[in-house]
Amino acid sequence: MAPFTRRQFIKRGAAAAAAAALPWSRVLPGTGVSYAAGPGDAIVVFVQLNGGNDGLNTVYPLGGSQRSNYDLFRPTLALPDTQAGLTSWAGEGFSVSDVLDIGANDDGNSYALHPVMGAMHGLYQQGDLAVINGVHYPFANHSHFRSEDIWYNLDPVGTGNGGWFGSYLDWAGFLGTDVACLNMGSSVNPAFSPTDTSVLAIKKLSELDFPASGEKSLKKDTVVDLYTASGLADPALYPELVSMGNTGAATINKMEEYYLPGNGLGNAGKVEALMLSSSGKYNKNNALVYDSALNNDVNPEVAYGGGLARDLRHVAATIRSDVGARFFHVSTGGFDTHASQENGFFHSYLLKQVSESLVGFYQDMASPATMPSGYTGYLEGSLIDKVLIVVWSEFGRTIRQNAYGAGSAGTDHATSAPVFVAGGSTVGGQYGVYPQLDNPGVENEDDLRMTYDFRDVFGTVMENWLNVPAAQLVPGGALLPSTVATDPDGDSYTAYNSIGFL
Amino acid sequence: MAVAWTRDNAAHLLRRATFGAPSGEIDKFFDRHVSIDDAVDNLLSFKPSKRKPPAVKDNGNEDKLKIQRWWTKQMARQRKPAKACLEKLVLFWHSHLVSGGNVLNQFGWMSYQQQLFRLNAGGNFRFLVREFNRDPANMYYLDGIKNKASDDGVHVSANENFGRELMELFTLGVFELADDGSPDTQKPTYTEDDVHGMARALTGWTKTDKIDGTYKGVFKNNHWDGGQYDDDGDDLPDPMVIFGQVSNGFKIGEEVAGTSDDVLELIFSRTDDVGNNQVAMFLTSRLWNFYAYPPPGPSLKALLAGFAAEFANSDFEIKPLLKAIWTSDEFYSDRARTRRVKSPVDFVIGAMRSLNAKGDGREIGDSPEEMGELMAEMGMDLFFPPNVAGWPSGLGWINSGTLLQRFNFARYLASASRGPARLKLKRIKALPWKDPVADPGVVLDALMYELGLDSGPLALTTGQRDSLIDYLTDSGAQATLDLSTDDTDDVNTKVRGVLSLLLQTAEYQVG
Repeated sequence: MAPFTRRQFIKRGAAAAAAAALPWSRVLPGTGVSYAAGPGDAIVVFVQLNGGNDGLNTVYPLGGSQRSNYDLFRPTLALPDTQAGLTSWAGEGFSVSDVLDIGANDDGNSYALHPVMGAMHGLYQQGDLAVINGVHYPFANHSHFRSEDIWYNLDPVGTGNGGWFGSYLDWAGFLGTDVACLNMGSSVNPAFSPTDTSVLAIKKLSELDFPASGEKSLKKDTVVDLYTASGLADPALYPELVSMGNTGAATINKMEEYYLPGNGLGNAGKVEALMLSSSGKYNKNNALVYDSALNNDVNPEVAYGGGLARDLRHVAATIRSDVGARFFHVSTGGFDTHASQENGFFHSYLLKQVSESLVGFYQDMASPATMPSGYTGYLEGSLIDKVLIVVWSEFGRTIRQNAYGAGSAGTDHATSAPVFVAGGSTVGGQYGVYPQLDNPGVENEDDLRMTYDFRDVFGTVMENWLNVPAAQLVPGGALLPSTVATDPDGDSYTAYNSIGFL
Repeated sequence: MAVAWTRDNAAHLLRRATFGAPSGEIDKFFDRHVSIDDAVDNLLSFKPSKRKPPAVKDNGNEDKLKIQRWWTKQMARQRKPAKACLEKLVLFWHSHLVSGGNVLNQFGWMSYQQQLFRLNAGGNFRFLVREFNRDPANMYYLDGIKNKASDDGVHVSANENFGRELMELFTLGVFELADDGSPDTQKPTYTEDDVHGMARALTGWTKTDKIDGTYKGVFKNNHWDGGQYDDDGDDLPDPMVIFGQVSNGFKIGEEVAGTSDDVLELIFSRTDDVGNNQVAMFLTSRLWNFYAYPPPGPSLKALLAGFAAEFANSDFEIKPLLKAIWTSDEFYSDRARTRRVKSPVDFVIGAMRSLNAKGDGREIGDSPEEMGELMAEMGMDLFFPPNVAGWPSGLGWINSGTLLQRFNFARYLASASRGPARLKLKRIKALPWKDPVADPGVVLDALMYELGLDSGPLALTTGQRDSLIDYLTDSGAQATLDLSTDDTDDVNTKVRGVLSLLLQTAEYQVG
């Protein structure tokens, strides 16, 4: 790990002091359990990169044998290690200025972020971005869908006990009437399911017909009645009806709250009122409305273009609206780059979008926002110390590129890749040893081996951010299911160990 | 034991094998046939369809709407059960042999793929997979077109995308089935070495050409691996290895079809440790999921193995397999009737068919969006599946966002008094027309009958029925409804209103 920066030291010290003094105390909704330490209203935003992100071209080697092997295995896809090498990039519309060095990690070689990730590099220099190297799991599976399942249920060997975050929600005591989770998409991410609480999945919040009034209101009440009664005649025979009944009733009730018109804001619902244009119209592309130009949503044109940025802006509006949602899931696709990776083209656009969307969201949460008059019940000021962003993908890609000199080159499904964690309370820096390119998996010469088990990453989030006692994080337990077995590379998961990013 | 031929079973069969029908058409279908076998033979009497989607121009949103509109219209307008049966089966193939317009530079390829499915939906599965290999949408979607042998004569450089998915998603499945029909994660059906070997064998299909009025892939021998590359540095060519078998000749090519070097022959002859053909097991389980219910189910593997054996014995003909499934007792069980959640297409097209609203694929009533867009909001963007695994199933379709979009559609459809998709309530004969003081209970029962919510395991409970009566009568304030014409205030507000509520029930999302 790189030496601590002053800021990291201060943060670590502060965290230790906080733990000692127990300044935080909270009662979770619907429970009598209070928790000490950590922000009482901790927020987590999961960003999933669908398709298997090429980790080796996201954080890439600059020096030593890692660099020479990188050049050897990726003759046309290796990213430049000098400023001069980047010259051709500027002509392709990427504003790249220099190699985005993040320094040496424990193997002694220096590494860099992909040249288009300038925004996240800034966050790294600021000490708010952790790069966790070589994250994966034993018995790596190269299927997108099986590997995603494993990241959702934390069990590479068996079938697990359902989604890990759903288990957390149940353990923490969230009730069916709580809606603490919002998935920006048309489906609930399997990591959040099953759970006894309600998880909203919303693609275009604003296009739904709420709030209801008059005859509509009468119909809405009837639908709630109908759903509440669904499947109860024989819950064992009708599990789908019972589940749908819960979802339907909780959704309608919660939507009313989301769409409760704010004071003096006309018909705009509470969340969408933060995304009004100067003429008072909602648009999903609008910047967030804060009180003055100084406070305004940062750099909306650049940072907030594209689907991921739009989803993250909606997350920001939802957080500021204080409607009870604290856990979010957004995803963005296209990372299955079997081809067209030359000059980093397609992959570069994706990483640029991730970098700028994430930092745009970050700056929004860090803004000293104050609300215009008429806006009541919103959260003001910087919230960034309560926000944790976790960026992951189901696997990284092969060490060697495909298509040597035979058409469009890309990389195929493989194993470990870096995970990024960002937030005002995150202890930035690089963690662990970058997997060595000349020491691949035993069964597959193109698999990068792992440095960290992803369950240690999620475990650290649970222990040091969501206040789950470490005793609950025993492998094989309710919150960290796993079967202990050693894979052909000699990797196994026998005990949870926290990582220093929190 | 033969399944009894009852109106109830006839209605269930039509709901699943087609998109359902108005009550009058269910009656006719029931009267016309003497047994389940007879009815299923009629459904499977469809011929290949030569209809073609409209050409696309610039791959913009207009083009997307155009092809979605076309397909939606095909599905919504087929009144002959056999033709509707074909439409449903085409939807299955789109959900199983997956390509997606979102990844293609030219999503016009998706219309050629649609033609492939329409011609071969009820044919031979192995032949369909062979054609799918050279289908341009697939070749671009899964990079087959870029999968060629290295021209440096040394490195193996196959692109593994299609080779993996061919086994994982299209033919073998990633795992064998456990007893309850769910995947057994202890029993993978292939290894990573098989993926490498398969990717090399599939090289060579790197060009498309116009053949027989459509576009197909063309095999380029000089782009085929042929086992001629040395990647392990021993100065000897490395032969391809698939399922432990070694050859320099593995490929998919017309001239090797049926020989031991044909990789489809290799795949289609894989058996599990008790002798079940693995391709037959996997496709059977996919069809069961699509038409009956998602696993698990009690002893489901044993049931599926019976169907799969017939499928393999018929050399992978699709119609005999469907007949075996649709004439089985379990297909008509309470589990099958209650545990399958309708896909957005089932829900939307099914509701339109049941209520005899034809539609042209465009906006319905005061809907701001076309049907294709509404179904996309419900999670099913036709021609644009979320990924190569295709659509979800079961409760995967249901969440807060998709459910609200279903509510919206129910309202648009029930209140559509204009346009091609208008609901002519007069067609529902069981409503007490001409009665200015109609009994709300009679009105409600007529509509519940039309939607199949009046009897069987999905019938609404007395309590739910009471809630709906409360709605119809404003909690008793208004004891009767004016049905003297089909355009009274009561018809336009309350009758259409309660119809939208029925379409919104959880019970209607199932079945």
